Amino acid sequence: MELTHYHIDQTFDFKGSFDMPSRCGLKISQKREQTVVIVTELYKENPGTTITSVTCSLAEQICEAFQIQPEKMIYLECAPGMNSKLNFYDEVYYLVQFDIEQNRLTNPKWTQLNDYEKSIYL
Amino acid sequence: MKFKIIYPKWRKLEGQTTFNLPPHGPVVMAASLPEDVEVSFTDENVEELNFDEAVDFVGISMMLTVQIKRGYEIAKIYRDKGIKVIFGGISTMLHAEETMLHADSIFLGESEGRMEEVMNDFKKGELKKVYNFLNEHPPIEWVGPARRDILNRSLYNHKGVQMVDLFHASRGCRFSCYPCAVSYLGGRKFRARPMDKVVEEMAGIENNRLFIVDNSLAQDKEWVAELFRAIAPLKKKWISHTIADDPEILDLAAKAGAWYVYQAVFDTSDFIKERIKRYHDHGIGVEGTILLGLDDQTEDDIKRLIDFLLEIDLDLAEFTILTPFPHTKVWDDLYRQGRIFDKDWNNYNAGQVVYQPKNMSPEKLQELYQYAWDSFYKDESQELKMFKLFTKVIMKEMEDGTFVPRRRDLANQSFGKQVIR
Repeated sequence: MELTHYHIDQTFDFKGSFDMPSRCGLKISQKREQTVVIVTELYKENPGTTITSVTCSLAEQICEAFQIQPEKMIYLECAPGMNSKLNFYDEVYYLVQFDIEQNRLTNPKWTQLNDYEKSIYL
Repeated sequence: MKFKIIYPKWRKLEGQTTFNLPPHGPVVMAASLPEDVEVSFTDENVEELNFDEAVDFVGISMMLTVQIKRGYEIAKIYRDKGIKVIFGGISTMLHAEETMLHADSIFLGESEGRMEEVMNDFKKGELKKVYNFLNEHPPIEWVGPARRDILNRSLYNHKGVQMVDLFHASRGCRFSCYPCAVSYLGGRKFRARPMDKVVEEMAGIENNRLFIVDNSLAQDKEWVAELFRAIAPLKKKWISHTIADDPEILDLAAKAGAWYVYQAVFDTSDFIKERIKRYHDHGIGVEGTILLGLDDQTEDDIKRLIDFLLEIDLDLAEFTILTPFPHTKVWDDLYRQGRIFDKDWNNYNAGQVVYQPKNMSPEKLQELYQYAWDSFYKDESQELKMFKLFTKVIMKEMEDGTFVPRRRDLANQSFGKQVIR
């Protein structure tokens, strides 16, 4: 199965669980005052931990690497489509909201985006 | 120095035939220990653990998520006595952060070439909290013959019939299957052991029946063909996971002693039907592994799937409930959606619903799981189907002169316990 990735401008190497070298797809764009960050799971091309198992840490690493203020970030996780007939391999996007304190992100909450919401962010 | 390796017990699934196979992780790890380390091993599933045995250092080897809470209990008893405890194995890797809270040390990754450092640190009183080799796989050539000598073999015997020994010829998996964490654990790169070492180890196992536990025998057709040609002269009979769907490979597998395979059955398609037939055409039995509770399954789908299994003449079927083990896509999906309602690891036995299914209630899925087992084995019990499969391997062994009669001295024992007749 080949994954579809419509919203990847670059790959980003990050530290996963126990510093395991890991990789995700990344697209960063500006929407007025806010920075939209789309992080995409790469499955077979990710040698380490998944983007969801280290969400807070990954978001912090991206903020640090690209000088993004967490308060002004819209953080989206993408599980890309895998061109499979099995529906759990369909492409889905989640908005992830965090509690933010002194640039530390905690308590992630995921909300799956519907088509209308996707059209706003993507 | 005496190093005690413990394999914690777990609660077996109700209503199913229990077979205790000799564990693989502990014997593979033991092979990487320095020579001066004396090893003592207890598999709690087949024998009592003696906490009074004099030991210097304890290693708890955990493969399954359902072992970890018992592992923590064991660790506490030893640590209260002042004995250091290190955890390792698949479940330690999946639950590393939590396991650290119960351990003096945890080992993440593969042990070949690493245990010298661990043991030296222990002797110096400088044991590290984490030995993290998750992303530093040792050269595959370093994987030596497993230390099966630490097993009490008579405990893995049912009424005189020796259980299969576990064996591996490769590590890693290039596939990313939905419910599986193997690619996280062993890496996404397929790593084949040198063929001469594979043959040497397999030949040395005092058992004609094996379970080749490689993640898949469909990752590299050329290598699989070479493997089958190399092991055929040993005349071993073996079980494995999926074999590449290729007539030449299946023919080689049959000649190399393929007894039966675990094959995932995920739909009612002609492809699956033909896939099973192709195994059978080569004299290879099939135990279907059927995952229940996927998001694309309704109650009707599950019932139709069970009818289909009976039509395609599977030799055995094993039903499991989708379970969100950490570091799998299942976990990511269900966790994001807030659908995991049970975090008691003792319930992560693949026979209990721990999440909210998409198309039915958890209770309904639990009911369908039981319905699946009952329906499939309604006309012919699991024991009888197993006996038929067992008869097939005996016939093959008799044909090539490798049949070994059951041990009469253990005819009244089952996994170390007296059989009440």
